[in-house]
Amino acid sequence: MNAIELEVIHQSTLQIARELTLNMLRTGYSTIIKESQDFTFAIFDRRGRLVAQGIPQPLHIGPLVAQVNEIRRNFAGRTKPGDAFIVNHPYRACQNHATDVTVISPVFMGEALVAYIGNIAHKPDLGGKVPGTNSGDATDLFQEGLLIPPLKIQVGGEINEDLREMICANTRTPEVTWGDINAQIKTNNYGLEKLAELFDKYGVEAVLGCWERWMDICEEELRKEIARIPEGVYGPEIDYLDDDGVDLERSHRVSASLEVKGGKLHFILDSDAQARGPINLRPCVSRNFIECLVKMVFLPNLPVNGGLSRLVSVSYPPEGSLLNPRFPAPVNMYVRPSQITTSVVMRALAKAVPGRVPAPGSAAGGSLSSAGRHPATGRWFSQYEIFNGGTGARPFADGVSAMDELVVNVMNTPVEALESEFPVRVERYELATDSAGPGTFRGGLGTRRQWRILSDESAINLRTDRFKHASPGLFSALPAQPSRAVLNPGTPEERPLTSKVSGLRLHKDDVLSWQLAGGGGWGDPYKRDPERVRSDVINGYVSIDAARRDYGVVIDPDDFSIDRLATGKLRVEEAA
Amino acid sequence: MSMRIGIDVGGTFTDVTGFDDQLAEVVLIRKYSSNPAEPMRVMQQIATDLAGEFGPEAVSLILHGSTAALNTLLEDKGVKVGLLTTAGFRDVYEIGRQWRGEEVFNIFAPPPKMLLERRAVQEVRGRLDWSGAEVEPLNREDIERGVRVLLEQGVEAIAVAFLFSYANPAHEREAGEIIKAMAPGLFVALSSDVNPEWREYERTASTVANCYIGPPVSHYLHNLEELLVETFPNCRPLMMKSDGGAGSATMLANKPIQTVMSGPVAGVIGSRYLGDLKGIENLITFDTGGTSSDMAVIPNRPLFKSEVAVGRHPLRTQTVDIDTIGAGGGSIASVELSGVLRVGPRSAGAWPGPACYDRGGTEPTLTDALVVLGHLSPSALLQGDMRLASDKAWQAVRDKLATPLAMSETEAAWGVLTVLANNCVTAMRTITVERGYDPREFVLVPFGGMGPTIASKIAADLGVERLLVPRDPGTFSAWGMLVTDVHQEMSQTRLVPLDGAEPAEVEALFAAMEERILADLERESFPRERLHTLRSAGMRYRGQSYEVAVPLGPITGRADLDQLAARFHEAHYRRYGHMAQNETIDIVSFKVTGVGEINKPVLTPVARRDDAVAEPVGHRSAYFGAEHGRLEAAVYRRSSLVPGAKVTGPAIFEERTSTVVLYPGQVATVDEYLNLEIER
Repeated sequence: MNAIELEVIHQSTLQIARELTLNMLRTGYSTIIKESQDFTFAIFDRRGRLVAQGIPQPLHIGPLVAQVNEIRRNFAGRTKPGDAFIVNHPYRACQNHATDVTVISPVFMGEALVAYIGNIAHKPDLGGKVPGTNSGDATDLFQEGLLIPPLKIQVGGEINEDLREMICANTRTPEVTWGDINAQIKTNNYGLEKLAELFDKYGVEAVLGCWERWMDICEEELRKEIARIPEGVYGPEIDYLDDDGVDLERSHRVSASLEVKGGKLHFILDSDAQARGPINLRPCVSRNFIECLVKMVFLPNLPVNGGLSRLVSVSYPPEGSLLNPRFPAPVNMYVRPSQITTSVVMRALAKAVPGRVPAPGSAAGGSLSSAGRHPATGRWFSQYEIFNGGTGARPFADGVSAMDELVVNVMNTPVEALESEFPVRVERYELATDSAGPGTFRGGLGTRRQWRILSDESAINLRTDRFKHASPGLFSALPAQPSRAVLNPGTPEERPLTSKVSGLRLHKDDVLSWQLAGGGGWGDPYKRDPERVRSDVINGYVSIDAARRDYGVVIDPDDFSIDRLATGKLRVEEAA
Repeated sequence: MSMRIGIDVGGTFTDVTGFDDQLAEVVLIRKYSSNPAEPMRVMQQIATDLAGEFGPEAVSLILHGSTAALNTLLEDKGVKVGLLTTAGFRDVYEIGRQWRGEEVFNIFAPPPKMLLERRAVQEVRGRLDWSGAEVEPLNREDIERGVRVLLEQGVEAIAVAFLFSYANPAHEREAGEIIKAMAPGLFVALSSDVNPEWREYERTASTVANCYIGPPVSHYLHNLEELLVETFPNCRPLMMKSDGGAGSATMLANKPIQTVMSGPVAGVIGSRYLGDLKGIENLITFDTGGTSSDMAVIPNRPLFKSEVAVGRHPLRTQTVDIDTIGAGGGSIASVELSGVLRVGPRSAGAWPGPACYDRGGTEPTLTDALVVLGHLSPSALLQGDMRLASDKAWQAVRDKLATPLAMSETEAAWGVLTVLANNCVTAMRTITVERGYDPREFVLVPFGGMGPTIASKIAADLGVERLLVPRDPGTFSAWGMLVTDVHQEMSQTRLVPLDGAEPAEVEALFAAMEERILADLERESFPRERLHTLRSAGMRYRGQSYEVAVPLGPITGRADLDQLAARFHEAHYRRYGHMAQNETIDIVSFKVTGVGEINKPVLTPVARRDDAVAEPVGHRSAYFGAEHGRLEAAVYRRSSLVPGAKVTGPAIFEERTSTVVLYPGQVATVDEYLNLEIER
C-alpha cells in the first residue's frame, strides 16, 4: 500500500462517514437529531471491525461495534444485499438503553459481503411508563420501552411493513419516531452507494487493505506510547453514585484500576451489586468510553478504529453488579454511571501518565424536564434542558466552566427561546462562585439556573448526580463543591431535592434552583500562584473566604491586594 | 474618463483592478505588497499612483475589501470592552452554549474565547418578558454605577445586551442614552442594533465582538474614506461587507462586525455575475492562494449564513456562505506515521515560503511539487518579478518525500498534488451534500493565484465536467467588487404563528422596516429609483429551533400567507428532504435587505472566430499521473488568445497572475469575454 493511497482512501472513507452524518442531520425528523445531534454513524470492515466514524456521541461507538458483531453471528449466511437490521435491546445485542435504536446495513460488492454501515440514533419516545420512555424510577427493563431484538427492518431493499407497524404502535410519537428510523435506513442506503463508488475506484482489496493498515498504524502508535509507561497497577480509584432513583438513601460504589503490563493496558472495573433503579451500565458501553479515553490521551490526532482495541482489555465485576448487570435490570439512566466510571478511569490514567490527563470533570451533567398545560393556549407542553458542570483542571491550565470533557456534548437552551415557548421565567443563569475544585490549577465552575413556574401546575423530572460526592480532583487538590437543587430558596417553604426526581408536582410561583458541581482541581491549591487567586477573586470565581481557606491566600477586601505576610504565614503553616 | 477601482487587501498582496467605463475594459491589474501593520500606507500609495496615472477627477467609485476587522479579532488587537447585562445573567457570555463543537475527542478542548474579563460585566435590574412587555422597570442607578465602574477600569467601548431586547429595545436605548451622557465619544453598541434576534448568548457575543473591534476599525474606515474623498473629488468610496454588498464608512461605523468576511466574498459575487452573463445556474467557486482555499456553493443564488465563527468567536452577522480549508501553494507535504503522505494544513506562509522561493525554506510545498511536475514554470510567477529556484524544489521533494518513500521525485510530487486535491474534493463534497446538492451538477470556477493550476485535477476527482476560468484569475476578487451593490439589512425576531397571523400586520411590519432602510440609503445619496428591497421570513415548524429563510413579496391578503406556507414546505423539503404539511408553522424572524444599485461594468463581448488559432510560445515536459506519464505540453500566453480559440490538453496557459493547467484530453475554448471554458 503506497503512502498516497493510504492517505487518499483513508480521507475518502472518513468523508463518507462525514456525509452520512450530514445526510442524517439534513433528513432526520426529530429535534433530537437536528438540535442535540444525538446520533452516530460508523463504518466497519467485513470482519466487523470499526474503520471510521462520523462526528460521534462518544457513548454510541461501543454498542455499535458489539451490535455489528451480534448481527454477523445471528445472521451468518442469511444476510442478503438490500437487507438492513434494527436492534435496541440492551441485553440481546448490547445497547445503552432502549431509546437508542440501531440500524445496520451490510455492504455487498457483487456476491461478497465487504463491509457494514451502522448508526445509532436516540428516539424521542418508544413507549414505556412515562412520556419520553426513560423513567427515573424504573425497576426493570420492561418498564423502559419497546424492546427490539436483532431483526430485518429492510429486506431486499423493501421496508418490512409488519415491523414498522409494530414499532409505530408502541410509541407516543409514531410520525417522528418512524421519520427518524426511516432517515437512518435511507442514510445507510446513501452510504452503500458511496462505499460502492470507493470500492469501484480503488478496488475492494486495496480499500480493505488500507483500512487494515490504518488499524495497524493506530496499534503501532499506541504500542509506542504504552512502552513509555512504567509497568504496574495504578489505582484503584473509587467514587460513588448518589442513589439509584428508587432507594434514595443508598450510594453506589464504582472503581477502576489500570494495569500496564506486557505492552498492554488492562482496566479492572469493579462496583457494588446492581441497583434496583435504572443506573446500571452494560459492559460494552464502558469498554467503549475507555477506548475513547485511551485514544484522547495517547493518540489525539489519530482516528478511532479497531486497532486500538487490540492493546486494551477490560475486566468487569461478576454478573449482577452495577457495572455488569443481569437481565432484566433497568439501564435507562446509563449516562450517570458512565460519567462516574469515566472519572475513576481518568484518575487511574492520570496516575500512569501524570502530565497528559486532566482531572475528572464534574460528572454532574444531567437534565431537567417538565410537563404541564400552557396557561395561554391550554395545550400540553413538554420542556427539556440539559446542563453541564465544569471540566477538570488541566495539568497546565484551569478547567473550562459549563462544559463536559467526554460524555455529554449537548447545547443548553437559550433563555429567550425557553421563555418564548414555555410558561416559565428564568431568574438566574450564572456561574456558581467557589463551585470549582481548588488546586494549583482549579476546575471549571458549575452553573446555576433558577426557574419560576408560571403555569398552574407542572410535573418535573431531574436526572443527575453529584449531590453527595463531588469530583475529588487529583494530586492533592481539594474536592469540588457538590451540586444541589433547592425548591423555593430563601423562603419558609425552602426544601432541598435529591439528584433524581420523578414527577414532582410544582405550582405557580414555585421557584426551583439547580446548581451544578464544578470540575476537579489539579495539584495542591496552596501552590497556586497568588496572583491567579487574586484575579479569581476580582473576577468573582473564588470568594475572599475561599481564597484564604482553600488557597491560603489572604486578600484585602477593600482594594483586592494580596497580604503577602499573612499569605506566607498561612502557606508555611500548611506546609509544616 | 470614468474609472471604477476594486482593491482587495489580502495578507500578502493587495490586488488592484481598474475598469474604464468608456473603453468598457479592464485597464489596470496590479499587485502591491500588503502591510498588515500599517494598512493605510498601502492605500496611500495606491491612491497616489491612481491619481497620478488617471487623474483625480477620473475615479468615480472605489470598492475596497479589507481584513481590518478580521485581523483585529484574530490577532487580539481590539480595545478593552465593558458589558452591561440583565441582573442574574452576568455569565451568559462566559457560559456560552456549553458545547465542545466538533472537538468531541479533544480532552483539552479550549473554552470559547472571551474578549473581556468577567469583572467588566455589570448587572442591571430591569426585565422584559418574551413579548417585550416590562416585568421589572429599568434601574437607572444600576446603569450609572455600572458605567462608573467600567470607566474606572478603563474600558474604551461598552456593549449593552439585555434579555429580550430584540422584542423591545427600549431598555437598551435608555441605557445607551445614559452612557452617552456620562461618557461622550465612547464607542457604544446595543445588542438590539447589532443583532436584533433571539438567543442571548450569540447576540451578546456579537455585540461584545463589535465593540472590541469597533474603535480601531471604524477609525480605519473613516481615515480611508477621508483619504479617498480628498484624493478623488468625484469618488464614492465603499467597503465590501460579509454579505457580498457594499457600505459606506458612515453605514458601517457602528457595526464594523459586518465586514469580518469582507475579503473572500467578492470572488463569489464576481462568479455569480459571470455565471449570469453566461447563463450558468450552478457554480462552485474555488479561490486558492498561498495558504488556504475558499469555496462556496452557488445554486442559482449565493447562499448565506447568519452566523460565522472567527477564531472561536461566534458572530451573528449575515455572511455569504464560504468554507475555508488549509490548502494552498504554501501547504507543506510530509511523511507521517511511518508511511502516510500528508499535505497541509501547515503552510510555509509568505516567509520563508516554498523551497523554490530560495529564502531558506527546506520543506516541500504544493508549489514545489508543481514545479517538479512541470505545471509551474520557474519564470512565470508573480508577474515575472521572482524566478523560482527549480533545483530547490526538486531537492526538497527528494529529501523529504521521494527518498523516505522510495519513489521518484515526480511520483512523490504527483502524490502531493493528489492528496491536496483529495482534501479539496472532500471539502467541496461536504458543502454540497450538506445542502442536498450533487457536486456533479455544478460548474467549477477556479481563481486566486493557485486555483486554476490545480482545478482540473480536482474537477476530475469530484466528477465535475465543466470549468470556467475567468481572466486575470489572480486578481479576480478585486474585479468581483466592481459588480456589487450597496446593501443594508435589517432583521427582527418576532414569533408569529402563521395560522393566526393578520396579513395586514405582517405587511405593516415589513413596510416599517423597509421605510427605515430606504431612508438610510437615501442619506447615502441614492435616488429612490435606484433602490429596491428584498424581504425574507425565517420560518420553522413549531418546536424546531432552527429556521429556513423564505423570500416573499407584498402581503395583501390571506392568499399570500398561504402561498408563503407552501413555499416554506417546499424550501424545507429541498433542504431537509421532508416536510410536514399538518404541522403548525411559525414565522420567527423578519428580514429586509435594502439594495442601492450601482451601475455594473458593461463587458463588451468579442465575437468568437471560427478561424481563431492559438499559437503556443513553447513546450515543456509535464507529468499527468501514471496513466499518461510525462508529456510535452504546449505552453500558451493567455493574453494572446482570441475568442473562439480551442486547445486540447495537455497544455499550459500562463498569464500575469496565474497559470492554467489543461489535462490530457480536456478541451479549452476561449469565450467572448476571454474566459477559458474547459470541458472533459
